[in-house]
Amino acid sequence: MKAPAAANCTWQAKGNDMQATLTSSTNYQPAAYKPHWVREDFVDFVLAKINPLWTVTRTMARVENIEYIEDDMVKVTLSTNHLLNRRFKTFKAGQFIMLTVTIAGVRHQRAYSLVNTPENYAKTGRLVIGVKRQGRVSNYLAKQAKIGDVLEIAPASGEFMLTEEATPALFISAGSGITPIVPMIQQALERSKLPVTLIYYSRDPAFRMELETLAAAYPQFDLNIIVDSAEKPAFFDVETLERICPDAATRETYVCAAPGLMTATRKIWESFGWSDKMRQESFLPIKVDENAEAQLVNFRRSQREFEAKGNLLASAEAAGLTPTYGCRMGVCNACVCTKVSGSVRNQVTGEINDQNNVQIKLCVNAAISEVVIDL
Amino acid sequence: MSTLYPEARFNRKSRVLSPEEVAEFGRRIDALRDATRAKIGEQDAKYIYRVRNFVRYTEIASRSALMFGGWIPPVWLLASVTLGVSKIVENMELGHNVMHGQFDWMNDPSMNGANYDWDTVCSGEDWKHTHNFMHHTYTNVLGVDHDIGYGVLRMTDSQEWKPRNLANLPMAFTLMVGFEWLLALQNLHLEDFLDGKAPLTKVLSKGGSFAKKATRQFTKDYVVFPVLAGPMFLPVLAGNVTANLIRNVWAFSIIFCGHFTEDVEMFENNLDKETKAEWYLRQLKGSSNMIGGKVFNFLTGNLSFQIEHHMFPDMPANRYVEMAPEVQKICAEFGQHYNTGSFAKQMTGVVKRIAIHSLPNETVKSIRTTLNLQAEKKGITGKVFKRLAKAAEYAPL
Ligand code: FES
Repeated sequence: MKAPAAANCTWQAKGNDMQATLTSSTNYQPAAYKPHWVREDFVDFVLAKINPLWTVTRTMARVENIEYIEDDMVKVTLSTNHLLNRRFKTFKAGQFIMLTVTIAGVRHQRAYSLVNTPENYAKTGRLVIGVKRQGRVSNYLAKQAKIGDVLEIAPASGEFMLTEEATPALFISAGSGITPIVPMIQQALERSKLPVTLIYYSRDPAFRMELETLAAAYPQFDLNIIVDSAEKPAFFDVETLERICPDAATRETYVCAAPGLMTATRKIWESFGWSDKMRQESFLPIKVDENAEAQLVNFRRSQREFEAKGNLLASAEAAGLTPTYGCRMGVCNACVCTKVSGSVRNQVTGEINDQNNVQIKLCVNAAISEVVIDL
Repeated sequence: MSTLYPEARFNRKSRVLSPEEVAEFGRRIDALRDATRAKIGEQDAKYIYRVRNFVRYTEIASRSALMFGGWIPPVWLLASVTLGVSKIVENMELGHNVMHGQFDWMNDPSMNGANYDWDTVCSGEDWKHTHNFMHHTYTNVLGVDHDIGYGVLRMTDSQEWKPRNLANLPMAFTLMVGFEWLLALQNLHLEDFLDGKAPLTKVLSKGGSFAKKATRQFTKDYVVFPVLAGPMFLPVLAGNVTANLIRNVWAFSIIFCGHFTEDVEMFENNLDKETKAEWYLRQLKGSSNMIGGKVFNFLTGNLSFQIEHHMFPDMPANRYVEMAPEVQKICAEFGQHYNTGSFAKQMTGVVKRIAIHSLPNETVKSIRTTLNLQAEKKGITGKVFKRLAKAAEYAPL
């Protein structure tokens, strides 16, 4: 047990009678509390009894089709309800949706890129996601989900999208990083005649047919699929860049791939001074910095204290706690909670946060001092 | 003997443990927690959804019955009681447990401790502070755990006696009837004003969330639903008042039985030196259980397992029933008193505790001495006084 001082409270001894006053209890003020008039999930509860797609706050989607497009990649088609359709009119090519499935009583959430364009969605009312078969949720979708199932999704989000202005574009991708790129390419080709180049590394290229159809239809599209193998891996370097896209300097570049390729491209772009012309997206969980010194973290509501090395969420789980989480990469806010005291470093931005009682995301923060968290 | 608490404060029914034994006790409790945690999954999720459905169906049914058949006395009575039960389950087995974060692992926002706000005047926000943090961390620590008498009742001989404590019993009765308002106002520390420690304006300045939640609750139960019922205004209003009353009396009784029975101990502030194992011991000594059947456990929100709830506040409450025998076994091994008994027995202890502490310690002692002296007399008088002396016996004094 921590002394209350760790929770920002001051003890005032009154004489020697051991009576104490915890001043924080009298100074406590909740931030902007607003009671609800009707619990939103009550309305959803009643409506869903009539039709599982009729929900006001949650957004539900029905599985219309599940189709393998390569050994470990599945294309899932979803239809949404009318309320949701209105929200989805605004999604941008390159964005992803959060999809929730309940497995053994636990709701798991994962982000999946939308592989059809907003224009296509407006016409068909269908959302198409690319699901790489790895991890619990994807395996569930690929193996257990059935046509007709109703799943919860959250409206599209993500910053990885085309620039407002049409520009010549270069896309670099590898493996399942292709999913957000497919609709972006299609949109770029549809909106202008400016050149679009794709460099796509893969052992078993997904969306090959779609991409080849686009290449046939749009002469300004230069498609480069580089099929590599475990024995003969292909590498991206300056030489490859100059060979395939000599005018890269004039282009807006979009990269979505595994960390190795991301770092390689970032280094090249930095060395040429083009960094501001590159947009990146990674779907891999934040890497744990093994070198970080272990810090003492106190989850005060559950009365647990543990040593955290790096990532707070992973450390908490390793200690047997089960904090709420979602995407595990800092985009969904599911793991947001109040840091009562201590300093943390954001593993994505490198930002240091040393203020008390602020909201932090467990999944992208590492403790750099003793930390007390209100969980 | 742990160095933390002066021996005198320990219940004489518990053996004094060596520091090694205390540590071992803690390890055993930890092991039980880990073993149970490993079992948590689908079954627990199903359980809490069933509880939620129970609350919703009973609420819909009782409110409709009040609205359409409220003028028929038996219907009115049945509907009001059902609404009361619905509120009891919502507050205790659903709200209380969800707000503890017991079901956060499900990742369901509607079952998330941080978001949930229950159907009672006390705002979820305030309660998560006074209860989840203050009360559960500093359980039964005098001067810190505000649940000890809620600032207005005198619950232990270590609390300084004030003339207003003479009203301990009637005050407790008032708190029972208006329990939801007491919880709602707890965070304001109105007693600071009563004791002249803070001006009324300062005390009230902390009432932001209280005002919002109270307005919502009052409007919902006493304006919106009665008005919606049109000609059925009065039966609905009366039904809602009754339901809230039933819930208040029940919740108060269960909560007081959980912490203020005769054998429950109070602690002095030694927290900065306390180990986790000692924390477990404090939770054990500061709580009391009640023996009852399945329905009873359900209606208490499993707070009939107050000891287990205090040791494992973030564990799904439906697991307490299987943990309790294990905890009791560990306690027996270590010679620690496991405070449990029937609802009637525990409630009697509570009433006695409240009554005895309405008088200054010295007065209680001299009354006791007098009774004991009289009890030695022969004949009927002696017998009567012997009875009285026995009734006045009380563990901590
Ligand atoms: S799990 Fe994604 S922000 Fe935390």
